[in-house]
Amino acid sequence: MKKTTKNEEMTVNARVRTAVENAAPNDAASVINDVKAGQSVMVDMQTKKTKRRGAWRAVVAAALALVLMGGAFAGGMYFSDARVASIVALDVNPSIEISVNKKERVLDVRALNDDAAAIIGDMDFKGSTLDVTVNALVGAMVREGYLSDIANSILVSVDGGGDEYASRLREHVSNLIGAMFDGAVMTQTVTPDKELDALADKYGITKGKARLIAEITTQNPRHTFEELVALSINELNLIRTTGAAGAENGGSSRPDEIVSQGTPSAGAYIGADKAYEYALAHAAANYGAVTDAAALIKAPLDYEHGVMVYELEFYAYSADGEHLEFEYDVNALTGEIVGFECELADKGDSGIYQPPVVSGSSVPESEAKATALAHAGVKESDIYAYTCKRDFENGVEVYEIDFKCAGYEYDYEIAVATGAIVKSNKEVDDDYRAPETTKAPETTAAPSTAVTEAEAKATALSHAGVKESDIYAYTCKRDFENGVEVYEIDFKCAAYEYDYEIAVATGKIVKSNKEVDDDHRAPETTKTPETTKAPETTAAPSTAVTEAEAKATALSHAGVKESDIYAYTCKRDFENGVEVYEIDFKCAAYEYDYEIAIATGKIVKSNKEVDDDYRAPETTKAPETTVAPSTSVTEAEAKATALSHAGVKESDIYAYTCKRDFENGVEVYEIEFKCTGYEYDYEIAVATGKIVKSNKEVDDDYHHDEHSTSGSASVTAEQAKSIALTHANVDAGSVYDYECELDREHGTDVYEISFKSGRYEFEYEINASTGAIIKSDREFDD
Amino acid sequence: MLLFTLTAVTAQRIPDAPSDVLNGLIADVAAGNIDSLGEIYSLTRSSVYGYALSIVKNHSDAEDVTHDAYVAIATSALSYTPSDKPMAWILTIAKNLALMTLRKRRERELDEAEVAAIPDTLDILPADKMVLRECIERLSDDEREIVMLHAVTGYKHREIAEFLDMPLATVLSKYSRAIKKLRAALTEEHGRMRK
Repeated sequence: MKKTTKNEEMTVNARVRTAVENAAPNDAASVINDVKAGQSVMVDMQTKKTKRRGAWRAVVAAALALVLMGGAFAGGMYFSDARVASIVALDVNPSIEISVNKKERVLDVRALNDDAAAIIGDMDFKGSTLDVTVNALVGAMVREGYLSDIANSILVSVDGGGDEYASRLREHVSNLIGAMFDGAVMTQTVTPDKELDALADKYGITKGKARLIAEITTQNPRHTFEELVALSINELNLIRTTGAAGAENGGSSRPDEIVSQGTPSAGAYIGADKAYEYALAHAAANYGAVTDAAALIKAPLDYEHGVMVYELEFYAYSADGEHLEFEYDVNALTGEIVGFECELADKGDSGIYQPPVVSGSSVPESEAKATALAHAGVKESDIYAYTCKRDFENGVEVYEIDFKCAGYEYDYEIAVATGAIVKSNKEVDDDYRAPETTKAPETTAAPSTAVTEAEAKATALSHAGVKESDIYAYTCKRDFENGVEVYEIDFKCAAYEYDYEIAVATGKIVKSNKEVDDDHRAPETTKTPETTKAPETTAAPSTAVTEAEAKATALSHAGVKESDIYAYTCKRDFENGVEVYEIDFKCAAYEYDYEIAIATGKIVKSNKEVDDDYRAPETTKAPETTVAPSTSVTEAEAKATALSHAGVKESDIYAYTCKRDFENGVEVYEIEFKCTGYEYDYEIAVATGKIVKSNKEVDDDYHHDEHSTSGSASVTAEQAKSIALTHANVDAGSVYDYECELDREHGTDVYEISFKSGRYEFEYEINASTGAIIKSDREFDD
Repeated sequence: MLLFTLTAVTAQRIPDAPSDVLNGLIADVAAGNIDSLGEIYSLTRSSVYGYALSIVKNHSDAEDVTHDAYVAIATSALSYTPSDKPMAWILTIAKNLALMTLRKRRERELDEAEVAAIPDTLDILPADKMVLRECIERLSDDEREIVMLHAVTGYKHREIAEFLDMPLATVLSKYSRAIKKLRAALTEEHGRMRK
């Protein structure tokens, strides 16, 4: 009686264990993914309070690590509750929508613009917590320079889940981001508004940004929705802060109201003090005004004349002792005076003050150049790489003149107003080679200019999405890159450095690059990256290569014979402004794809891929013996990989099959096996040993109790009985109360056998596949 | 007496995760080798999930707790001092997360579908689903924890008593009552399925 209880207890335990093993999640990858993301949280925490640029770099490094490993994990199988409860949108410039379920597990992460797509990249967040996801995305935005100490605003909009829940979620996400960096976080709950949603659609912005803009235009009707659409979240936050200055912030409980935390960074701008300095200099030059102490009334940032400006109001006395009130709009990026007004302070708005002195004197560029050349002691005909631009240095407008001559780089700043040399510098030109290469590329190589510099500049600006009036430190020179003549255009705008190469012949963008300008503070630090490469004028587009020559080049590069190839095509086309032969052909299970420059005969691009359509002439062995590299993974290794991934032991599996096959051009082991009610199906690349495909399904044919008759148990119940009886050394005739059950004990199918003979009770566990006795027990039966 | 031998036999059957192996792996994780977390995961995921399930009584939450537990294990590995009870450390992490989940769930208004302990859509054998449902429906909270710790984690009754801070006698009697209940339920179900 007791024995039966014991057996059944073991069965119950085994069944609980089996059920739990099968129901337990098996997705270590998603855990590891989250852990790596979490590590960036910790780094962020440590660096939070240090406001130096280094802190941002640390965040960047951590986020980078995450992004790099992100691609390794495709969607896990882990997941269950798939109903969207809320959508959390992050707006910086990248706009990202995160859909979460009620438990704040991520269902989907959607990029709403190209920047966002780049941020998300290969990262897969399905099943991750909202915290991990927000952390990783914000980290990536820092890495990409969208968030930095010069633009630190982020807008969090929560849509759905009910007002109370949404406000809790807003606060949570806001705190989370606040913990990562010194940011300015605005949060809001998105409430239904058809008009705003239509505007959001029209301009391709998020519902959240539309509501932010609407709030600003309501506060300050001078602004229109249209004019603010192009601004970044940081700019909007700055304007909003200006507009709301003095107004209450927080306290009100309107759910759609924007709650703001932290101060938006004005680090991209010159600063109110600098702006004041410029305005004073301008006022002094034009009105002969002098400062009176503590006269600056206010200097908020705002958006006027299509640019971010400091709106300055200050008092000053003119040379005549008149008390004047000034209003200046100073371009916040460049320090340029974009608007000004002057009134007699005491007479209110009645009297517009007429300036007694108007300083109109300025020196033309040619005069400044002559000054510089004279100072350098060089002749105009000997110099090259000459550039000149107007800029403000410490409130003084100057010509920045750079040129090279005979192995030296010269660098001048000459005051526009006076023509005086403000700064001069002469350095050895590291790039300088031989005297014969000193011929400036811009003067020698100009065969057929299809595109003017102005056009190229316009192309670059339009690609960068910036306005000409906003850029500075602009330089442009003609050079050869990979045999193509290009305009090398560099400029800066709003704390970014842009770097373009635009083909002279076609006007196409050959290269574009945008990075955070580390030197950015105020325009005075503008350092023009002046690297004049030794002109690669050797590869002049003169010699033309015939198709036959190009074909021969391609075949030789591919290492194949003309007689072996098929599906050959060749056409002429332009790639990045270079005329090329596009040559495609196939040979022995591979597709080859070449681009060969017509002018030079050089291979511009080459590619070799497995041909999916290829059927080997005779047997499937062909590719492995002829072309494919020798097998690097054995079947046994592949099997071990599959078993380890499945988390099962070799002794537990049955119905194992393995064959080699090609899947999408990749040679794989197709491994199938069954284990405890599941069918496993793997494809493992022969070359790399990596799992190409894995699948686990319930085995419909599996019946727990009838398992003894299925193919897996190679030992029958009868054989097991005889093994047990033999071991017990008892005669079959003397046995009574014989019971036998096939069960699973920690992953192995076993026969649990109990019987009595004489005065003894026996218990055996016998491995159903090997017949080995796992356990034997004999007790006196009272 | 008989029960005692039996217990020893059952517990002995689980050699999957000896303490020194786990200690080594946790140290690896602390040293920054994240791959070792994967090994800890595959060695202990059933124990963690089973124990979490015994507390939260719902697959979806248990799944989340399991996931979060391993994230927490990775982040707390640095502060772990090797002991003879690494499994208890892991289970304690899971337990805290499971209790937090219960608290959060009380704050949220629950819809019935969400409470469905073991969803029909879960891709495991019907028989396995049935076993899990019976565990959740028939057993008291204590009984369920004890059964999971014994059947899945392979804890001896003495270890369970220590882990749950309960007298050994209580553990033994709760355990035997739980097994009886489950046996009856499973036999009953079995009979029903036969028909």
